Amino acid sequence: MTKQYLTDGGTDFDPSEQTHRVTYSIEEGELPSTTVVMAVAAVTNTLWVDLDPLYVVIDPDHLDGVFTEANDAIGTETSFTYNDCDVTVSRDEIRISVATNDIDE
Amino acid sequence: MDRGTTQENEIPLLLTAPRNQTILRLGRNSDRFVHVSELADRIVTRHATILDSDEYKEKYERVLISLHHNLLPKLTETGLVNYNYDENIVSYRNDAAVDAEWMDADNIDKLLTEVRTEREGDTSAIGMLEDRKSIIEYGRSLAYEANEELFCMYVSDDLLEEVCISHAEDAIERGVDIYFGSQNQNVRDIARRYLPEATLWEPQSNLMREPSSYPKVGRLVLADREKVMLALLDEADVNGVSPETAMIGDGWNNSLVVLVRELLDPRLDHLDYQSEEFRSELPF
Repeated sequence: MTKQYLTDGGTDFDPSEQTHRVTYSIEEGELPSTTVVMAVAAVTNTLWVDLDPLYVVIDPDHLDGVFTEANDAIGTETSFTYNDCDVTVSRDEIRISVATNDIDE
Repeated sequence: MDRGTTQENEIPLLLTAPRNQTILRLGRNSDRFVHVSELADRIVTRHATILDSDEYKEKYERVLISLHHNLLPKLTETGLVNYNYDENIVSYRNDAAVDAEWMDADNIDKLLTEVRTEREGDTSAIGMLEDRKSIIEYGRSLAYEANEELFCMYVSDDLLEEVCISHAEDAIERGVDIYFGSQNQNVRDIARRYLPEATLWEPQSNLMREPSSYPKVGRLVLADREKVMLALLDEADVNGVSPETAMIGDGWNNSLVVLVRELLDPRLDHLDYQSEEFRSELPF
């Protein structure tokens, strides 16, 4: 479960932009909010419980509600900033971009 | 997104969610401070089923994420718990305050308004009994009318009159399953002696703990999961007698019956686990 989120923090590194971009797919049966938490924790090398609660920036129940209700969510995207990461959630994936100097080595 | 604080009308909904009840219950059975990882462990293992280490790890991780990122910050807004997310420590308000809030008649009314459904007829009617004699009499009639199951909780043996025992005996003779819960040793001893066929258990919840503050639930009788009497004890008067009043509800869809079933849900489920036959006879 956790393994797929591990990153060496360098594969998508783009020195010209000074940002690090990673895309995670939302596995079937997985809640978008859970995937956001796991992904941001992996990208920033932080434990889940050391991140501020996701609820501080967005209600996880509302986030999950948007993407689990039938077909309405196709093409819908939600973006927010969480733990210094720009997070974009769509129906089947989560894109994260973070300035490289924000990554704790 | 402006979430502001939790609207007052959302609180009853938060309270009736089973996992939130578990959080509150587990917290109130423990020290006032609990680390989130401890809470997650208790939630995962609360039914004491055997999990292999992979299953445990997966459930534990999900519960931990859900607690830290969603449920605990939400409950913090209600004021029922306080979650310090830097330290990962959950602190609970002291028992008396939480119990009083739960059992305060006004708040129960508020909860009932929330769960009240638009049903035909008088199934949402809630009756009041205002003296002990009527309460005992109504308890007797519940025992008398029960066809399959009688679920009783008593807070102390003062309330357990001989007459109650004899009606319970009659019910057992008619083939009714009786479940008898109390944290009071005397109540369990009496029940064990006179009602050997009844299933006894010691509730782990503070719901039925001996009163340290009032008003407090004194007795609860649920017959066939569709008729209920919930009696509240008030502080003892100068004669040392605690005035007792009760709310009664009748019918599967009656608001009070629905509320009590929801509150007792984890315990009813637990009984179901203990008896497959019992489970198969009931419609859920």
